[in-house]
Amino acid sequence: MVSKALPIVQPLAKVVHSIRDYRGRDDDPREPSKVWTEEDSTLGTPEPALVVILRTRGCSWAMHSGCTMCGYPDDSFIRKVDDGDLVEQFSRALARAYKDQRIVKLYTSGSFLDKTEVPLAAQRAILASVPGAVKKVTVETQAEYVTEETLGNALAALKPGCRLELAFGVESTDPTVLMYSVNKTNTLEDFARAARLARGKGVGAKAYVLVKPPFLSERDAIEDAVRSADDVEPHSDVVSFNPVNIQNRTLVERLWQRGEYRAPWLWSVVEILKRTHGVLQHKGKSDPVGAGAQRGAHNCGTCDKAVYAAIKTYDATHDVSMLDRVPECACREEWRDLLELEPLTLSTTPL
Amino acid sequence: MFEVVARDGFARIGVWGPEGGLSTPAVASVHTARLRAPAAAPLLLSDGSAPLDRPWIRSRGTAFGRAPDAAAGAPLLIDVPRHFAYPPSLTAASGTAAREANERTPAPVHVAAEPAGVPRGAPVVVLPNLSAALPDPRLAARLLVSTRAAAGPASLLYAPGAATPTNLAVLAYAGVDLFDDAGSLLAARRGVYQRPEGPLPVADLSEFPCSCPACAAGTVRGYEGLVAHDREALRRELAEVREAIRRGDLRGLVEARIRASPELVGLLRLFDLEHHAAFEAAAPVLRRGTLFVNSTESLSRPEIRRFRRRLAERYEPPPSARVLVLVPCSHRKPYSDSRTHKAIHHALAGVPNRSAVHKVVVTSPLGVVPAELELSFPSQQYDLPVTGHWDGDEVAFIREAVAGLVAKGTYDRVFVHLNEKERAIVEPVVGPHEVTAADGDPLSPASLALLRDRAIERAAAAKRVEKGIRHWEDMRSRAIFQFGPPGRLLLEGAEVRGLYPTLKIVSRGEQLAQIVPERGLLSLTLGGARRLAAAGCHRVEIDDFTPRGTVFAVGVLDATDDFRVEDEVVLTHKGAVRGVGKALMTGAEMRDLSRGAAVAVRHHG
Repeated sequence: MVSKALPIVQPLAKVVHSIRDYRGRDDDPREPSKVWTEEDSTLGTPEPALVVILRTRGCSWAMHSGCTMCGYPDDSFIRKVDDGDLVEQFSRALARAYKDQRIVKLYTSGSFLDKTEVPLAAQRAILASVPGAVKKVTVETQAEYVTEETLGNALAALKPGCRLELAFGVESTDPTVLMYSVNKTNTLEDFARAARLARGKGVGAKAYVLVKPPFLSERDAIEDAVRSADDVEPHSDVVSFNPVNIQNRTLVERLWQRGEYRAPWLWSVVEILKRTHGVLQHKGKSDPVGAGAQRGAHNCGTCDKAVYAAIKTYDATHDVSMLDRVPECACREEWRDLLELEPLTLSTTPL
Repeated sequence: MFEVVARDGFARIGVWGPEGGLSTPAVASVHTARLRAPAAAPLLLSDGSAPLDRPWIRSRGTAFGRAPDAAAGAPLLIDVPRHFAYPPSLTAASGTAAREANERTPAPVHVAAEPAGVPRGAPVVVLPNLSAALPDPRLAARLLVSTRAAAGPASLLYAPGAATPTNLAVLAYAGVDLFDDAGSLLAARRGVYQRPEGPLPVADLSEFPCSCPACAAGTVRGYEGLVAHDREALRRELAEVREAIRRGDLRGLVEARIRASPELVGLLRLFDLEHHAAFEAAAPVLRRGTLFVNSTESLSRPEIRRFRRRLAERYEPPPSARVLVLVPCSHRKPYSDSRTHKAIHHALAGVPNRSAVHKVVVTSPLGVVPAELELSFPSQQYDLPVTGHWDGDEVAFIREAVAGLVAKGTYDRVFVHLNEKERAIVEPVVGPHEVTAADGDPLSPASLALLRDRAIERAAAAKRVEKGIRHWEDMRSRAIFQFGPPGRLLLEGAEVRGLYPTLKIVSRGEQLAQIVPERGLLSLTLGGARRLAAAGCHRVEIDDFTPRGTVFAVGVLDATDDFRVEDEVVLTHKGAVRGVGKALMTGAEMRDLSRGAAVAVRHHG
């Protein structure tokens, strides 16, 4: 079921669709896509969390056209995958990498609760197989798949004492940004409904806010992220800022190759975290993927490490003074110039 | 609202605004709370966040943002609406969608990411995508030419964020009227020292090739000094461009500046090769001063391609000519004033039935110049380096022209009176011929004697041609070259009188036209004008008045598109010829502009 909350901008959707490679993959459907362990502080202190990416048919929206910054369809089969294979993927992941982690993050490059992507029975079987020591399971889903049925199914499967958290790719709450920039049709209202339903059942709601979708100037990107965070905060337990990282076979990659897109500055991430701290307090998080690289959020190359470190420290501690203690760098003046000059010259591409 | 004070192709010195407050081309200086414009900057670009005491352009940013609605200050000349535009690579796919995302554009400023939908005559058209398109010359050329074509001459074109001292000339050449110095600010921030010849990292310089205050004081290594220098470099180049427009030599400045960048060279080449029609229509038929053909690009400039094209399309050799003599070009022009041609003329002076002999100059960049067209622009105005080395393009032009000449002519004999290199160029296409510069030197006594002897023999064998007939045919060629096929109407039932070069066309005692030698053009009398009016040629329809002195654009109701600036035009009103004169504007300008002088009237009736 694809939400029709916002009209689709057909020419943009067509372009996004044309960049995708819908041939699918021929990996072994019983093998998970990726499995790794990473540090996570959401239960209070830093500890290892198991991350599993299952390879499914793929995101329903991407089958249509998809979001302008998302390269997840590259990791999808495109064709239907057997229930049993999906359950086996998770099983193998646990067998190889589970070592009593208390946190499990379960991603599918789509929506875990989308029955057409992960059948209800498979959702149930996978969640039921989460080991007893796990205290928190996070799955990603779009808002329309959060229903009494899918929530009930999931909660019934999980062991008592294991909290479920749903992570939503909200991206932005501005309809213009959603339609003309991200190419996504779910609105703040869609998210709010789903979050209310979930939180009403004791399920956590995490909102991903995208930083700098294409065609936004650097300043527009900051304003959009700050305003979106403000809008989603009442419905969220966590708000995670995701600066765009340029993935293969996406529209942003094509724009980037033509010099029409630059991933956000790390200074912009710092600015967003500072400005939203008052409203978000301990809810705000950010761990930019590919920080310091050309395809990820970056500054000038010289100060990136230090600025990224400050962001990570804030992410773990929520001590906003860490963001003020970032060492100055000459590139910060250039960043400030761009914040003014891009809108002044009507640039939707980097200057 | 807009008046063109001086023009050079698409580029123009203009006066714009309610009290003529803005002289274009102009550079607006960025002025915000954080980035202040210099006190001397006459025009500002601002979001309203700093005090405004001079004419300014307001930018409200892109549609995704929430730009502050600051209070207006001193004269707000141009209010650019908030606008979101997809970048160049996407506008073709999503132009409509982008338009939907924007507020209704408050007239008079139209923001055009794509030329489609630009309302003709919108007072200001903003090209937000041009700066992003410049690395792709084909796209940039298309955006520039198509936007100007859609908007027409009455619109001010503004390309935000695009200008550098290096590209200012070529962008003005394409018709951009308004720029800003955002690029200078960013260049300075990035440690880049700007010059018209191209940018350099300031850290790489030991000496500063500039005497602006910052360079003289050595403060240019710091940001403030570098901003001052970069702004000054742009301001200086603006003055160069404006002066070049006044001189009618913007093309020369452009050809010099583009050397700094392959993209800029590509842009000019694409203007010449893929957008020739647009630039040719804007180019005058006559320029003052020397037209230097100093680069490969010069060979393809609009006026020169126009000459070669008119030669191919409008010109036919005199039907009476039976003996073709291909002669070299000369540095001194018109050719007949040169030592070379005087010597050849003298050698042929004693040839009986001389009117059967046709002299044609072989030359780059025009290909060939038949003797009767030696005054036609740019035949008497061009100059180019002569080294004895010919490049491939030159050889191609010449061969094409010679082949066309020989195919269209009715020559019994062709004499190639050229040096060895030039001979080698024409021989593959000239057909059966005789070489008369036997020792390789067209001016040696032996060569001239051979030419004379062979010409005497051949001319004698040809049908006798009366001098008057030949003059008439030559004049008809000139008339058609200038006016197109309707030009022949001037010669019907007429004869040619007078001494070259001030020859006249006379019919039944009435003079119809006469050559103006310095202009290389026929100037018409009312009688001549009436003949052309019948064919609707070079016609400017005016309102019901007697044109005296100057006809202004406001008095023009309509105009054909077959004439150019400096051309003879016929002034008509409801079928009756009211006058004749010289076009000071293009037909499109006459129709679209509401101010300015359109025609300098010579005769009225």
